[in-house]
Amino acid sequence: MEDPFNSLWKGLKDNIEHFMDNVSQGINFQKYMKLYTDVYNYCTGATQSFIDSKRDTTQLIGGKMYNELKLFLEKRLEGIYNNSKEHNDENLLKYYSDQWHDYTMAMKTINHIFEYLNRNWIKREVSEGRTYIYDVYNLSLIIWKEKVFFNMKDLLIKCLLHLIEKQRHGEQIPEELVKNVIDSYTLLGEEKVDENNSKNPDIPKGVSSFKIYEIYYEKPFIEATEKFYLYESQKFINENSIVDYMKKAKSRLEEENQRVDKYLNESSRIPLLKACKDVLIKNHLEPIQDEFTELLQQDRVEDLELLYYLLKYIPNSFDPLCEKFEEYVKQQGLASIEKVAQNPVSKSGSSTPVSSKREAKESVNPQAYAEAILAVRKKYIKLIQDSFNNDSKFVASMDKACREFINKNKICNQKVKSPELLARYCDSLLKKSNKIAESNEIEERLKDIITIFQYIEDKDVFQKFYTKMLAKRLVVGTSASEDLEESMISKLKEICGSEYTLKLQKMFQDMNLSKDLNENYSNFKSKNDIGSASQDFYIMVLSTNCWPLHPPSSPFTFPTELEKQIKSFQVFYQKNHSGRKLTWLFNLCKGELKTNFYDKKYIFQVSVYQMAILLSYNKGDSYTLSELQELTGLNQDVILGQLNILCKAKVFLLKSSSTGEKTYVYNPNFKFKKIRVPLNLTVRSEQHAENEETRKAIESDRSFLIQAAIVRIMKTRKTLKHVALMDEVISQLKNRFKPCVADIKKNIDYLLDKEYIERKEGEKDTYNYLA
Amino acid sequence: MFQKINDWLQRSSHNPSTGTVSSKNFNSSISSVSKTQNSSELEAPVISNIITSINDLSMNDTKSLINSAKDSAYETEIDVYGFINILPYELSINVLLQIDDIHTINKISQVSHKWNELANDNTVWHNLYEKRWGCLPDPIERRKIHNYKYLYKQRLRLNKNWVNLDITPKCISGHDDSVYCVQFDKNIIVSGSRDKSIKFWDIKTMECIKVLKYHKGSVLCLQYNDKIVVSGSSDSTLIVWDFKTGEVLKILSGKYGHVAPVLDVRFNDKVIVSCSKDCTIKIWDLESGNLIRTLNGHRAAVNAIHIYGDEVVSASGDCTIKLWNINTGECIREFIGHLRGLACVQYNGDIIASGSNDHTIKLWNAKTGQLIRTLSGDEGHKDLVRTLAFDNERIVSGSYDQTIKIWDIKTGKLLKDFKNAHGSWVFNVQMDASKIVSASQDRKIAIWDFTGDIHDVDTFLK
Amino acid sequence: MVKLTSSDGQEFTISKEVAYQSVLLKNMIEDVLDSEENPIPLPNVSGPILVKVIEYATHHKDDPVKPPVEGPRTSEIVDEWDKEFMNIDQGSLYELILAANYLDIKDLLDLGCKTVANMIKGKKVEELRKLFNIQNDFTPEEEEQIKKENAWCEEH
Repeated sequence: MEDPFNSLWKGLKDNIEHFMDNVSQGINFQKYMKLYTDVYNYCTGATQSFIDSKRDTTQLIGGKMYNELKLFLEKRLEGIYNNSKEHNDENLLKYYSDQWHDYTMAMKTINHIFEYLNRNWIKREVSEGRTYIYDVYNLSLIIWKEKVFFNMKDLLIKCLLHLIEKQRHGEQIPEELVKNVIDSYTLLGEEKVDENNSKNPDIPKGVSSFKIYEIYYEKPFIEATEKFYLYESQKFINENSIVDYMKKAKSRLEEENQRVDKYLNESSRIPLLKACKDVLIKNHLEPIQDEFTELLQQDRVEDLELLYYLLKYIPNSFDPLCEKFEEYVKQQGLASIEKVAQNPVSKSGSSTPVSSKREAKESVNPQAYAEAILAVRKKYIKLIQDSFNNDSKFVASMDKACREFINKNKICNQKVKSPELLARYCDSLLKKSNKIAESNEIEERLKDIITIFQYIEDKDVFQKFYTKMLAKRLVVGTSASEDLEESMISKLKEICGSEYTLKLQKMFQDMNLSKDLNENYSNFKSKNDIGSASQDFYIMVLSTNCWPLHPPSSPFTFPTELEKQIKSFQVFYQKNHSGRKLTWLFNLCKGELKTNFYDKKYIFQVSVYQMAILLSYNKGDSYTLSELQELTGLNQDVILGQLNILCKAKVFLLKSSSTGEKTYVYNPNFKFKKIRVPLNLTVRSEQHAENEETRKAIESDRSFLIQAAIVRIMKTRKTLKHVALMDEVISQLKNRFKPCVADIKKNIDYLLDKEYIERKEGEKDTYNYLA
Repeated sequence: MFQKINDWLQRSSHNPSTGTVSSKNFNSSISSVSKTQNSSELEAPVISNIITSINDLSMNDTKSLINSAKDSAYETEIDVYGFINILPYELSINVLLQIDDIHTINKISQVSHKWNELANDNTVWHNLYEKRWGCLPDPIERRKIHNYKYLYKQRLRLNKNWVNLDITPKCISGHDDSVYCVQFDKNIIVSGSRDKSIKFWDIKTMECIKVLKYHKGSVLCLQYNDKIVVSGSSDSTLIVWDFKTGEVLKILSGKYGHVAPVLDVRFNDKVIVSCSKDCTIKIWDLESGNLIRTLNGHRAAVNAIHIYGDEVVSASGDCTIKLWNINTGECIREFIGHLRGLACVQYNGDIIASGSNDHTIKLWNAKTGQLIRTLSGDEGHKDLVRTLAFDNERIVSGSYDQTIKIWDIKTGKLLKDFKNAHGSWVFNVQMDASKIVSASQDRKIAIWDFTGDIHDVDTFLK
Repeated sequence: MVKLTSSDGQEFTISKEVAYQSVLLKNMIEDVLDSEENPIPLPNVSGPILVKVIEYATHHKDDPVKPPVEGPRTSEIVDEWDKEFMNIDQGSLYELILAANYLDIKDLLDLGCKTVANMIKGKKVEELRKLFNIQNDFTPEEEEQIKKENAWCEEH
């Protein structure tokens, strides 16, 4: 009895075989439907003989067909493998690729022809746990893998690697072919296989199918790559410069990247590039790092960029570079400042004329100083931007270097240190008379100053000087613009906190209040008919604790012409603010005197002291020093200073009197190119004295701050070791200044004396807080 | 009539060379046979009888016999063939897959041998089981091959036990104060208490296997999965713990957190949702712990929430239930009907069940907003319905009246009433296919196990 | 457009949209390089049945792709049109089911099976035997045993 299945299967098989042998011709509807229908009819039992109707009907039909199909494919693929032995090298690849292509194309269609089998028998087998049964397409892939791929894989990889090596040497290779073959690795890895299934002996144990590509292609490929580059890089670096080597390394990396795009699986990109970077760069890290300093010195921006790019992915490779960078920037900064120190004077922008050698030594041009610092910083910020991709590690190094050379340079060993210079520069920018910069540039420069300010360790010095200079500007009226002042203060607020800037703002408030005050005063005057319209009187009332101004060092008898005004204002003010005490700061007051006795109607801009002196000359032509002293009530230093200025300006002529005393004679031939004659100039010696004073004040402030910090810390901790106390004090004060160890010690001793703290019994270096 | 055919057959068998029998002859004999058939009481299909008696004939003969018989069957226009002989096996199964009640399947299994085989096919019973109870909750079990008819049977018996079996609960006394919340699976119970701790218990030995302490106030609510535990407390914070190690992973509090006790918490694989006495519901990103949004709208404390899919349902002391979309934050629907504040709520995508201080339980159609049923009355609760849980068979409710009641979810009938279930207020009930676990102010956790003598119950459990 | 030929030689032309309801046709059209002019032979489907199938596919061609059904599936036919469509004699019903199976149109297949299922529902065992003309090939003992084994199905 012939099993009808056999004739059915024979027909099916022949047709499929014919189709697979002529894939390009395709299949027509007729054939397709016939085959499909054959499969369908078989599975639905239409061709079953009635004998089988007695079989166990809980089995779906299909197993026999599945097995026959499997055998057919296996035999066919064995044949394909056997034929492959005739080819080698590129031809082998071509043969494999062509066969693979035809096979997969055909199987997709055949899979659909057997769709009924897939949907029913195969599905049921799988759901009942027999996971070694697959749908037709996956089955075909597995058989290919077993019968063709595993037998050919060694030869295939050899050919592939050979071709790739050729390409690395610059030769042309058939990329399309390589891509097709490699794609087959990926596709073979995608069918689902039950890895733990031991029932099917055909599948090699332990080979997870997803990893066909990884194990059989990627691994040997990366190994070969490493070998290749190991050899090449060694040879190249021996024969060429580092910079050239870096260029070659970069181009090789780019080439490998492109290789992935062209014919490799995306999953290889990361492992491949890592392997290449390890071999090309990591292996040669030291020579590259050593090259760094030279490149810096020669300002080779592009080469540095290349170096950065290459080293970016090697962890910790930048650390030695950052160190070198920091050192280098520091040196550059120090050198630049040295230059400035040697040329203290610059033609433009110095608003205070240098008149003595001593001054030349002391006053370095603040602008030049600031600009030197900024120039260095700007240069290296740009370098970091251009070459190091704004890498924060390098920025940090640069900051460290800046901090070093700004706070510890040649100039800082002098009396006038960095922060003071900075404050002076600031002052010169904010004054009306500034010739340094155009008004739109000033904002930029102020920003720059703030940048440098952030590096300064002794911020309190800057603060003190700034406050003083601001006070001067406001009082004397030389401030260029309120807006600029405001913007500077808000910038300072960001860094120092509002505690510091509160005082500054109070100063502005006082100025505004004074304005109102003066208005009220003139109303008061007109109401009470005080008159003296011939005098313009403007008073500034300032709160003592905000302004860094000192009461006059010398007594003063104010001229009678002013008496009326002064007294009436006093009355006016006391009326509204009876609890307050007014201290007249005559040393800061100024005024204008109209002259009627020269050929031109000069207007003298004078200080009040000078005013007193000059007004005396309304009654006489010459006075001796002692006479003048008596008239004005000023002490000798002060009056001498003022008189010197007047003499220099040739308002007076100095003569020796009969008694040998200095006599000051009115000079009728006084001439000056302008109508307004500025006589109210700062006395050099006074200026110096003031600066000295400020510096001393800073010292005492610091002492006070250190003490306050110590007490505060001890109060919370109750007990603390000496070293720990030092650390805490430094960290608490670091925003304002850097206290030196000796100073802290001094203040600790002071507090021990005053019994704020005590030494712990038995432990020499531990302190206790005394409540 | 059969005699006639038998004679004919005898004749043929002696002439093997005759080969194909002329169909015409046979046709007429068949038609005559069937015609007489009609008048008699015989029910058997004629053809199968004939077939069984002529198995001596050659292959070809019989093949043509069948074919011609088939043709004639159509010709006579009598529905002679049951679908089982025309349709291939897989299609017959497909027909049975469309049936969802076991009575019909039972009837089918009694019709004939072939129908019996169909009716016992495992695919059919797998389908029946899943239609009724969904797929098995434990993924390991799901992958195994089961005899689903057996499983179905066991499950039905388990169902019956819920109504018929007399049980006494097993109690765990391990907390130092009221137990507010509880969750369990087939291996462990996790409980949160007023004593500020969360405790893990082995469900078989009832021993404490882990304690998590960090909250500064009572642990009012919790939920866990195989990776994390999330708990809410009267200290207004939520804590995310690592399930395996017990370490604190995140604390959700602070500027954006709740400002009053956290009364309920639920999470899915993307977000944590919490509700609080501060009248708000907050949605947090599960991975980062950042607050995504706050849902405002309730006018009193939000006492309970439940998540299903992308929606969350909230029950509040302001007597309303709201249904929200988690992703957009909009309130989709409101459910008004309770007379007093609500204490508990659950949502399965179609139905919302809520328990209230008005002593009733209400079932709502989530999509239309309509009230389906109210469970109350003489046999209902006599005090605040504090907690409830339901599946597609029944609802379990716990109340301040110290009882736990079981209701049929389809009819609303009270199936069981555990009076004096606890010595004090019942704070939380949870259920699975085989048991109820309850937590109470009397500091105890009670396990009500309906397994009885049924084997393999663990297959049904998570 | 797609041309179809039934087993009895009738030709039908339908749009690709309608044809794609059948997974078989869809796959074939995508796989085969044949010209559109050539008709697709369907040897297992007769003319009248093919008419019905095309009617169904045409009516449902604009249906959105339904996700796999979650939740309780009943054997109720929800769509009125479908109900009316299935109002045919048993013979045609089976042929329709076979045709849907052959052409791989899942919705039509399920619809047909549902119809058969509805015929079975609610009937007693004897009624089933009569309706489908099945002979009882159980011995009385076997019958008793089956009834006993499945008694639990009858308890709710």
